[in-house]
Amino acid sequence: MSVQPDEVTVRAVASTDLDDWVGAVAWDPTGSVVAGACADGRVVTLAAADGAVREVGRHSEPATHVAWSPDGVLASTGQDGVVLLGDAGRVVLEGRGWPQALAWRPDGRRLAVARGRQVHLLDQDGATVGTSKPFPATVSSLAWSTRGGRLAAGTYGGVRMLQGDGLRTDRWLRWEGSVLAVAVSPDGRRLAHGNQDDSVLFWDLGGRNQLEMQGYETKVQELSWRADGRLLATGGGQAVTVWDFAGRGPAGSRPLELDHHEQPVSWVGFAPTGDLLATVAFDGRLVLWRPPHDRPVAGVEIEDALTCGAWSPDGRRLAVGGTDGTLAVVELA
Amino acid sequence: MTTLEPELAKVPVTVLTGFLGSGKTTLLNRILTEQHGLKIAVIENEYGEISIDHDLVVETDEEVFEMNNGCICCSVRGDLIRILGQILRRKQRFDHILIETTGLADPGPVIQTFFMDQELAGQLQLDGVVTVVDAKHVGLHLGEAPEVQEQIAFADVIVLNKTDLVDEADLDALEGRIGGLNAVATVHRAQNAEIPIAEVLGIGGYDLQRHDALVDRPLVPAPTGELPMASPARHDDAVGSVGIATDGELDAERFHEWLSTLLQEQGEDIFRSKGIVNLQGEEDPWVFQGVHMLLSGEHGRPWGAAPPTNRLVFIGRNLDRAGLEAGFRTCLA
Repeated sequence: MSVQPDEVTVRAVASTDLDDWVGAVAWDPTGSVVAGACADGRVVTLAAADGAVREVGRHSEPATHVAWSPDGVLASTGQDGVVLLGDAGRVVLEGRGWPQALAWRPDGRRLAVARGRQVHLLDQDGATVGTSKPFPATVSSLAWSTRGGRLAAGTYGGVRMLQGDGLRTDRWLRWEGSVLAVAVSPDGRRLAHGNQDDSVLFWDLGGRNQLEMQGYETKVQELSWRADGRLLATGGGQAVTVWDFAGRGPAGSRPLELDHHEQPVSWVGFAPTGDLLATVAFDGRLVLWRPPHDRPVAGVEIEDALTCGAWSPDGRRLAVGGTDGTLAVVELA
Repeated sequence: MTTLEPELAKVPVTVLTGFLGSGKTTLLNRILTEQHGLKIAVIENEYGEISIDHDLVVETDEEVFEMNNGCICCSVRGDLIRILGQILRRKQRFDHILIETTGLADPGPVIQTFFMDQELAGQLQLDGVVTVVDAKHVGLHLGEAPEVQEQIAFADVIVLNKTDLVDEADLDALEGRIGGLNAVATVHRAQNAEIPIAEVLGIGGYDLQRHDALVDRPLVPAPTGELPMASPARHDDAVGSVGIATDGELDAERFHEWLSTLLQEQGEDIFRSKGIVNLQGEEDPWVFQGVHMLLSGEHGRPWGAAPPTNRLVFIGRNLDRAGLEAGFRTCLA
């Protein structure tokens, strides 16, 4: 593919083949090791520097989620309904049902797990400290507010804002539809959710305003706020749509359309700081953008349909996973 | 990118329904234990009657929700969207997926799931709905449980089970009554759910190109537009079939307008629709099918030796036969 080398270049620095669908990737807090969840049940780490591969956990069914706490505790879950914690893959939660989301609170002292119609809350040692009451529908997604005061839980019927270890519903953002992805803006002012109904919805958390944006090609499962909270990147179908919340916000505005991928986009992510946006798709491409510019600034093509991605905390590296088992690290220069 | 990869064959999905005690799970076990060499994944409701022993059995808790996608509003199964999406991520590809519903389930949302979710629609092909009917007790259930009528109405194949408990005359009467509910399903008589697997899997119930069944069905084309598919209303079933069989060319624009408006306005009561029609100016037949408000159509295989004709079937609740017929007539060129 043709790339404008414009100030950023990317190159693959480490890679391994896990031989089965990699469904999630996550970086350790130092940005030197990435963990991947593999459909064969394994949780594997890959070191960016020397490419060293290590199995750190094993599920009896496909592993689906990995999350690393700021203190360096790795959590994983899979279709066996089990949550594993730490380098030795210790079982800390068991039960029926396929977990849909796994999220450390920003302070690293609580791990939220969405399984079935409930949310479970564990401490950093894996002890259960709270369980929500069963909601009327499955919890599809979780997102902590920036300071960790609230946990947003997406479900059919809207988003519940849960509070404290008791996971009491503090506020219920009701919406008539099935929520698939939730993201709270870094400044805490807004919440966005992506929906089964080919739409996204924005909530002004300070007030009661909501704004629905329809017209996506498919359901919307990918959301990412820019660090300053001004831009939101969304993925539904092959196009990436970026909404601008400056001034009077996106109401009535035309969003930025980043049209490049030739297969559905599987992940979008703004860098932890700065203005770079990474997008990953089933066409095997990892592409970098600098909105509002609508042309790629860098990219790399990998011989696998890419399913997921993650920025290292320092924003210098990216990790991607693929359907055939690729787990790879890409470095920015 | 100049070349497109050959599309992977879609995995066929069979929906197995039947009222409590009909022998649905017996049939499921029969399918799984027969030496067919197929790798089958089973999605079973949480309250399955008998435990089954198999490679991949996923238990599910039915979650029906409303989905509003532009002008179409319909019910889908959120649990199936999640589970099927994740089953497709395993390296081990399945040759077939079987979904067993609860005895009280409305098959409508299950079927609509495959048309409303693009990710699933791209990878799965609904093969058909197989409904197991207890020949001994169905007469009682038909009057008491609306679900039984719905399950029969949505069926592509009906397994009239436990025929050893009923005499021949009663079976004939029952088959006649079932034919009144659903004029296009193939009915097989069985004892202990013994039926060749080829009669229930790979039937192409939603394959638009398999319209032979509609054309070859022994209904005499009546020049007057008489409705030979409809069986005499010996029972006061709310669910029934209305067939339209007539020669002549249709005005394409008027026909499409009539059909889409009809399903928009009456789609709640019209469970399924199917047809092959002769549009003016078109060389090949136009074939269509609908599930409630969802409608799809395309050109069928050439007429060949068979003279062009129009065959339409509507299956639903409280259908207005005269109204359907009159509406159709306005489409004649």
